[in-house]
Amino acid sequence: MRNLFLFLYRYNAFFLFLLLQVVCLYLIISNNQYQRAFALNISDEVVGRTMSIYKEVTGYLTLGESNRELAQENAQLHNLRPSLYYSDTSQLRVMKDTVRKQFYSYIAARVLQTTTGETNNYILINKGSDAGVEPRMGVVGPQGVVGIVKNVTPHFATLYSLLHSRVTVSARVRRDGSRGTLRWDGKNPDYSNLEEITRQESLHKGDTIFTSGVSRIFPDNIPIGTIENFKLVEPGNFYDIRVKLATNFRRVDYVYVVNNFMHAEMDSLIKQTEDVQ
Amino acid sequence: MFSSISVNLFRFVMLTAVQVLLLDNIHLHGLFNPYIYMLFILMLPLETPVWLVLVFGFFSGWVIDFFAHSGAVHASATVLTAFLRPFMLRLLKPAAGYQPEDRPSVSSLGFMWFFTYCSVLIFIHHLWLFIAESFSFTQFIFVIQKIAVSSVVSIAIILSLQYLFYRRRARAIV
Repeated sequence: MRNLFLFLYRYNAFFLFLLLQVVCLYLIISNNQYQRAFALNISDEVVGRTMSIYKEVTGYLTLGESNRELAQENAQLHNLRPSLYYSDTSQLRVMKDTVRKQFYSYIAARVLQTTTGETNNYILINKGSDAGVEPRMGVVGPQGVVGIVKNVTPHFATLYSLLHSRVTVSARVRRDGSRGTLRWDGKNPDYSNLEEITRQESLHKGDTIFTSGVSRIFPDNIPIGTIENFKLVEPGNFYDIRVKLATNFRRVDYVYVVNNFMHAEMDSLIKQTEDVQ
Repeated sequence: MFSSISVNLFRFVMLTAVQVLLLDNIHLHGLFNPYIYMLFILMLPLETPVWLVLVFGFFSGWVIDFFAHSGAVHASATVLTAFLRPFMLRLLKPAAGYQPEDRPSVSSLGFMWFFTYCSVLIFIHHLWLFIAESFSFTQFIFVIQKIAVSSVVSIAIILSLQYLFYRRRARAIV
């Protein structure tokens, strides 16, 4: 026993090294596979507050660009105002809409921190569970899809951005085309890849890629990007499409979290169906 | 003693801040990410006990991980750097041994000594970091390229930092 202690003492640096590496390995693996640990949730709050202050300062540097984007979006929204349309009915009716029910709503948020250089990239935003943000909600920006909510604290949320090896988004070519899967290859933050589009589809450079709406996370027809180039993959049944992403992940600032009012209902229905099988 | 602690604490805070607020925002098409925060580990006083260096290595890496949302890959790489530090110090020991007033820096032990010391450790740090980060060998060429370019940039930044904060010291004439 005494010899054992002597041995441990003599090589204490090596054993401490091994111990710390095991802790690291555990943290790396648990970070990849499970919801991130409790301790990390606390750190998110601390990191969130630090980055809020940082953003407050650096936000001024991109004011021009942000303003331009917001103005553009404002113009788009103004175009939807009823007062812009000429009404050709003289009657005024009050209608209680029982046919349509609101499906999605948006929660506005600001990006506090974003990474683009890693294999798995995250975005930190300044709205959390207090504002109604929940894990697995989609996030879109003025130009297009941004990511999916991963973790939530009362005031902040972290997103998997589209530049994350584990994020796949169901997408289609144009508004009427067939569906495929968008997956990032981990290299250039400006481009992603769309797979599983069959060869029957006629493609053109510059065609817009939209969300398909089947994932229940994003509403359909939100732009994702445009086709940069494409080629058939051997043996030739599917296209491999390189997509120029609409969102510039280095600069993304104002975003909207998408709240699907029927998410719970749809999820429980699907769960029931799967349970029966 | 007190001044040594406060100097190192200050260095830790400054390096972490520069790393998180400045360098983590440099992305040139994912080609390289320079990391300089482990300069804190490299510049700890020579007589710091090894276990303390290891613990410092773990925590300084972990702080970076918090900001990069990367699990513990930085902690792991920095712990390895801290573990190999005493071996490098022994390997590079001057003929007369280390003097009590020696510090691991350019101003104290000279350019060649520090260059060898930091470039070997930084390269190993980056090698471990980027391999742990990608956690697979699917994009081997890309990762190797990233390791090489990032190491060169990190070493260049760290050497320039050494000259930026060069502390002139009267050398005893032997």
